[in-house]
Amino acid sequence: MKSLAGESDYDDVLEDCREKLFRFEKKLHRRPLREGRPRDYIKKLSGQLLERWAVYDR
Amino acid sequence: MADNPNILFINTDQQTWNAVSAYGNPYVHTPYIDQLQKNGISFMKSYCTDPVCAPARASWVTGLYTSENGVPFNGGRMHDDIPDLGQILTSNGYHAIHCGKWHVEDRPMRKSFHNLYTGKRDIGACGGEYYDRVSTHAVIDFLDCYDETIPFYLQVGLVNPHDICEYLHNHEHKSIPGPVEQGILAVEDLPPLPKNFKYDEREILLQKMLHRDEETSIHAPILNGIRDWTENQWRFLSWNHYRFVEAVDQQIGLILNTLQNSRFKNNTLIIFAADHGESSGCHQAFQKFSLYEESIHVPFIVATLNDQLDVPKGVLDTEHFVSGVDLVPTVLDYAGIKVPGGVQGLSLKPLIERKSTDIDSKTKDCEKHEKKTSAENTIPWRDFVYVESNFWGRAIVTERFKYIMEYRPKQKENFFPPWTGYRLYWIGTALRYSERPMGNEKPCR
Repeated sequence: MKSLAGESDYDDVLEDCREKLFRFEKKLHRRPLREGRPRDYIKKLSGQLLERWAVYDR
Repeated sequence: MADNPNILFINTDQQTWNAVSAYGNPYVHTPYIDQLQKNGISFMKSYCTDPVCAPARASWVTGLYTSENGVPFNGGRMHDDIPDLGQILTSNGYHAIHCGKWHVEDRPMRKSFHNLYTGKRDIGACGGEYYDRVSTHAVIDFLDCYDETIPFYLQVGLVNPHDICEYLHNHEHKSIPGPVEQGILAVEDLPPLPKNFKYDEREILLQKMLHRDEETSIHAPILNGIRDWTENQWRFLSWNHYRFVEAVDQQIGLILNTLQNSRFKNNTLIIFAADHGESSGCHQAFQKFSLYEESIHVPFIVATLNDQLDVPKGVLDTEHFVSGVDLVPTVLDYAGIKVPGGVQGLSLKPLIERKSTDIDSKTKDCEKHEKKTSAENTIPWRDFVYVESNFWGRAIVTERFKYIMEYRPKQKENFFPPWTGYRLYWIGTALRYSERPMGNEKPCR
């Protein structure tokens, strides 16, 4: 499996897929997480990930 | 209601779609899942809604995606006002029964289902070696003794091959010699390394971080323990996974044999699926969590052990994308119950019955068959499947591409998925199916 990110020949594919995904997500009935453990968990793990973005996202 | 079929939903935990011998995998032997394949229709493009236990299972019982039902990761809490499959079936005249692993915290299973396992706590994420036997015994007892006139829906949550996680936990912070080095197995006993063992350096960022960076991995201790694994040790991981698959297959065999000899044989629909897959060294990853194929692509079979229900035998459907959200509408359709508004999935029943009709027509009259398979016989269906991965990204899988969009931080405070109320920042990546992992792309029958 090969990543096509950044290959200009596939710009149209990326655009098409992106549009499909956004169009689909508009139909979802997303709801905020319940207070308590779920929100606490997401904040904790988000923090861990954020610290590493600076290392990898160059 | 008494004429409606019984429905037996057997599910396994952490079984990749191709860990089935009937699909051409020579490294695993699953005679009983193969029996289901021979007696039903296999949906070869079936995907979980989220490659983690609780989210995938929450979708199974709600027909909703995980960002809708409140369970985007293990420990998420389902919204109280969302009805689950047990409640819907019970209020419409079915006897809804659960046995085995549940793992949808904060949704009391015993209020929605009759539970065959008598312990006070639900069966969790490990211990397949013993809990699966307990569950199987309970199911066998049920099939032997059930004497009510109303139909039943019985879901059996088998834990294995999830015990592969326990195998990995054994490696935390320590080095265990491989079985080849110990002389227990010969090299030729092991499955080969997956073709995609060497990952693409341009893979999406979070997958790279989560699987190879101990600071961000959910299972950092495991990562520490396996960092210096030899190729044979990775191959032994895959070998182990297949042995756990075979262990759960034996339990499925016991259940099928009991059903075969019960009075329910002729009126029971069987659905078989796995909640999510297992990486087994693909992309040098372990367990699930990622949006790679091995993690999200799962088996899904609808079968019967009789000729009375309209289910084709030995068919591989390679055309239609199936999602975990399809379980609720499919079960309700077979049960003759109206699907509640808002449910995202699609019933597979029309696809199954059309396949059956196609085969029947083909046998009787080839000319008519050709006419029936024309456009007029096409059932409207999705042309891609949508998968969420906890809170760090989501993907669509189309016929030729997989497109992954990560949640990416622009500023610290908005590194959250949009449905938590924070701003979304995204990155797009498309993965092309240029190289399938081990297993036949077009499995043999």
